[in-house]
Amino acid sequence: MHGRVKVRTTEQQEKIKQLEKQRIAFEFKKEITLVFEKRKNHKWDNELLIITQKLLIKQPDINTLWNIRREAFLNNNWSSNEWKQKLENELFLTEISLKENPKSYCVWFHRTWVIHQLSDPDWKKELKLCNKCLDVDERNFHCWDYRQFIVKKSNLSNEEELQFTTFKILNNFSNYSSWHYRSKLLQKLYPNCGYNSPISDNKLIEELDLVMNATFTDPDDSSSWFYQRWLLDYNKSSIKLWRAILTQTTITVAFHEEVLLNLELFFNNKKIDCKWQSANGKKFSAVWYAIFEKPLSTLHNKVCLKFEENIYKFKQSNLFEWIYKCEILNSNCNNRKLHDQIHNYLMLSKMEPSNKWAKLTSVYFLIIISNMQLTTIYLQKPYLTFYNEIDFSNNSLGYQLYQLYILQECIKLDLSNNNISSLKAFPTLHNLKILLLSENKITNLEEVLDLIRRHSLKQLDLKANPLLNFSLLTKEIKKSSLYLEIIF
Amino acid sequence: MAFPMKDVRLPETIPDLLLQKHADYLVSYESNKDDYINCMTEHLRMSGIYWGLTALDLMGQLDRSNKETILDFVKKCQHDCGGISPSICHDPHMLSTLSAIQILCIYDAIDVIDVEKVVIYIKERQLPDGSFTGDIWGEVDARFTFCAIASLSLLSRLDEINIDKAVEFIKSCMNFDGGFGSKPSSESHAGLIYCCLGTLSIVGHLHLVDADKLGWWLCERQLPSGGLNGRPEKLPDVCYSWWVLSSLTILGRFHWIDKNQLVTYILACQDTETGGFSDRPGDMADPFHTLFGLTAISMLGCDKSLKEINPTYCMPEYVIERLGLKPDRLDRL
Repeated sequence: MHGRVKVRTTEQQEKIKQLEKQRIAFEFKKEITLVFEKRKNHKWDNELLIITQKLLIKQPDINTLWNIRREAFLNNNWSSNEWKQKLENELFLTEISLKENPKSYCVWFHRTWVIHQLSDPDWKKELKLCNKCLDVDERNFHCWDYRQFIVKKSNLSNEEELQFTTFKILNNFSNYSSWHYRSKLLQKLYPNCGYNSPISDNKLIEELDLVMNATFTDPDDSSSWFYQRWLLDYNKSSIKLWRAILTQTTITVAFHEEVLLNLELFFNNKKIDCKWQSANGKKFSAVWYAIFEKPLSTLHNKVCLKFEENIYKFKQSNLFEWIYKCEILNSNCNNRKLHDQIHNYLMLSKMEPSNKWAKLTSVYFLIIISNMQLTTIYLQKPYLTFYNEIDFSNNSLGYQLYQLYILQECIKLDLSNNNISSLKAFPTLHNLKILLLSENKITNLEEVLDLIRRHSLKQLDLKANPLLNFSLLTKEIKKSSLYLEIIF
Repeated sequence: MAFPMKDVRLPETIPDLLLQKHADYLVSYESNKDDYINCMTEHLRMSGIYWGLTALDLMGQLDRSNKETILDFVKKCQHDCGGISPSICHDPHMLSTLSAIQILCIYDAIDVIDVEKVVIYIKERQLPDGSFTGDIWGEVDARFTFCAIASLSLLSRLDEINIDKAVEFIKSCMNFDGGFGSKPSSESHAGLIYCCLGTLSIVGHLHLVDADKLGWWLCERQLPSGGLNGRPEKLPDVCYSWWVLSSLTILGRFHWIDKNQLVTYILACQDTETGGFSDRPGDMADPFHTLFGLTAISMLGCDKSLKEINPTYCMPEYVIERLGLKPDRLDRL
């Protein structure tokens, strides 16, 4: 029961109401029992249709009654005229039912069923119904879904639909449903094969202007701000493989997103057997590597990697190293345009000092323009995979250690002063030699030992940690790793 | 012109948590022979029982439910095809099938139904594109994917369906805002987000989600009153306290909302006379909102006498542990 206000009534009113309800319930029970009986006896007659219709107008959410009506259609041998007439009646019935409850799943589904049965549905009428329904409630997602069903089924043009969303949005910027539909249509009509934006560059500029209009008209409405963020921070490449390095002994491969293992390595079109390992130990990983049992001879070979039916060719970088690099297509979305935008949003921030959205967007534009990248942004993606030395000191990565799995080529990692209290989630980094963990809150000896066992470290800095038993740690370390220098 | 923000005003005095009243409300609702309400809600009976039982169990009062009658009812609702209907004479459906299985798991009485048959029923609902239909008539919705995956995992029979395909379908329901809708290209909605994240958490594919983007969208559901809505620019509603909170918990971003404000909103939605929770302060209470008010309070951890709730299954944590299930969650960021 959504949005039913509790109303206080007198005793007298209450009594009358109760009696009326009892009468309705009695009728209802009598009728629904009759319907179930008729169904049991396969009596698909007109009376059945009349009673179920009456019941459904009162309570359109009873799925089983709609099922029974559909069974009546399938079990009767009506003439084609009768069949069509009866289907028209179903359209009428669902329309009345939607007036009673415009958010009833089963009514909308029944209408799609009817449309499927009709040989020549009146598409214009259906679209009109949607328009009417969206005039009453522009956020009714059932109706938006039905509209999309009709558009698809009748081959209506996406351009016209885009115009419809523009019309709806200009009528009321606070129409999140329209913005949503727009995002779907634009991706179909103006796809972008590049990397930085979800739609083609020219269209992107147009959309940013539309959003600016909306955000300045009503800066407190969140709808257009969400849409704007999508336009700005979309980064989904169609080229999934980002970078790879092959040496005589190892290959490390990084993807823009976490993927299932589906990799094949070829030398001169000959497949090379690799024992692929996921860097995070999971089925899906952004970084995969393999260590070769015997060193490969990499001289004078054509090297390529096959992933999901695509071939990625390597280039030789030196005598013993081959690399693959994805050429990121930078958006042509020109900087001047972005500068206009940021100028306006900084102004909006001043005009509306309490508006968080304007501030957030200003900062976001600054990040895009200055290419300022934050540690947290970078850590989500494998873009640091091929660095040998990484300084993450003075951050707060204590809760994010598991994300470090991407650092498979890292030799020296500085994590001092990072609010680290547990090393449990520290991934295994197979090239790591020097690890700096000073000024953290590490207390668990067993976790430290486990980390040492999983790596072949040369130096481990544990200064300024509340570790309890140093002598025990030193003793244990001596047992497992002779070459490790430990700093307390 | 700026539009006024959609929200509600809370009453001046906020009642304490009235657990005993809520338990009494649910027990009397269950035993109520009011014909009118019974008639009008018969098509929701199975889910209604699940809402009431879960809430009573959280409050430690499961023994006040009529176990024998309920088990007998569930048994009678299983059809030859294996599916379970919301009530006797009604048709089997995925929604009532999941509710029935949840009821049986709470009572630790799964053998009441024919498990083999129900597995077949669920299996037959999967379409080649990986999606699931609600029943034989073919309505497709991500809710039904959750019903299928949750049901089969509760029965330890997940291997019966094509999980990769099911995941692919869920992925196709993802939108520009990082959220999920009921079908590919349907608008994001907190209830559907819960269903999709729940599905991905059971099958261990949460990596497909942009957790920061979606977490941000979800925590923006909190309004100045403290209550949560289910979509941008909509009114708050107690049931979204659950859909949004459980989703944020699965994403490891529970701490992104203001806990105290939300508690205040939920407490304001109690009916201090009859017991039970409503969607908004001053509206009619019902078992659906009573469950989700209590599950949210349990998750917020502000009343130690309430049992812990599992964010993926919306069932008491001890039941999920008893079944040996470990749905995935992302680490806290």
